[in-house]
Amino acid sequence: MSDTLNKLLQAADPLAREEGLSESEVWTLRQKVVLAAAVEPRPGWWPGAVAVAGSVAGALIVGAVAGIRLGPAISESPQPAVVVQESRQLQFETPGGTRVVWVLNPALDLPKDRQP
Amino acid sequence: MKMMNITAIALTLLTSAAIVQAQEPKRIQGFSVLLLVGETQGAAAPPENISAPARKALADIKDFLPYKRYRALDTVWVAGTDRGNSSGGFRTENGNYDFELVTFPKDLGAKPGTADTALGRAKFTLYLRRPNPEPPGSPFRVDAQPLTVLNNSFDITAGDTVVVGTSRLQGDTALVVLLTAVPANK
Repeated sequence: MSDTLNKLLQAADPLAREEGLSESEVWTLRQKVVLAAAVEPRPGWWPGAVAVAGSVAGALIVGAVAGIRLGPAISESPQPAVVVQESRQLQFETPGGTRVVWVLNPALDLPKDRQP
Repeated sequence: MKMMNITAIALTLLTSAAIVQAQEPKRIQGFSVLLLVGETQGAAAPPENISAPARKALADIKDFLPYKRYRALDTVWVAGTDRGNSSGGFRTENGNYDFELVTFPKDLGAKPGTADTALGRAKFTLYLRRPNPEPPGSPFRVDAQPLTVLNNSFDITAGDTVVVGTSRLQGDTALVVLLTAVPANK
């Protein structure tokens, strides 16, 4: 089945029956390509690169103008007015076997005694 | 010979009963919660009218904390179990406090009836009710959020008294809670 298919494809190939180029034809073609490559002036600039550079420059200018009009950027997150002091916890056991859990809280403000 | 057999059987039964009793977890009847103020000033004197376990706990911590005397503000008894929630409140001249107590067994996945279902850990949270400056009935009166004074987890078993306290680093007063897990009577 596959042999039949291969034969059919080979039979239908138009280039299979063409003769190759002669040596002189190959040499002529090569000379044309080499000459064209040597004579064709190489562009000193690339239009695509100019477009990219223009876009970047435009973006920079827009950014600079916007920065001047809007003034200085708002600084980082505002500093809290009150510095949070973290509490620390200690846990230990006395030789008598009493477990003690103690919290050192710098912000602790116990209600004062109410004197009559 | 017959007498010896009877003695052996009796000894076996007694030993089995003792083993079963030893494996049976110690149950909780409830918790005694004592609120105190510790002070560095004044004459050293133990507070009056406190339980024996609380007195022992204060004697134990005497050398570890800088407070000379402790004043009992209020005592609360709450029923509790090895696993559950309890809550209560202290009414003192220094303000009103509410507390929540959550208890956990030694092993959360233990089979019922085993020793690991006994009380093993607790979480205690104490809140101070903030005073409201507006008089009752005032349209400007808004209930203030309570202030969390203590929020701690610790190991505790039946019969233990745990001291939970808070203070500033070099403060001359401290707020202290003595939590005693009272075992159930057999």
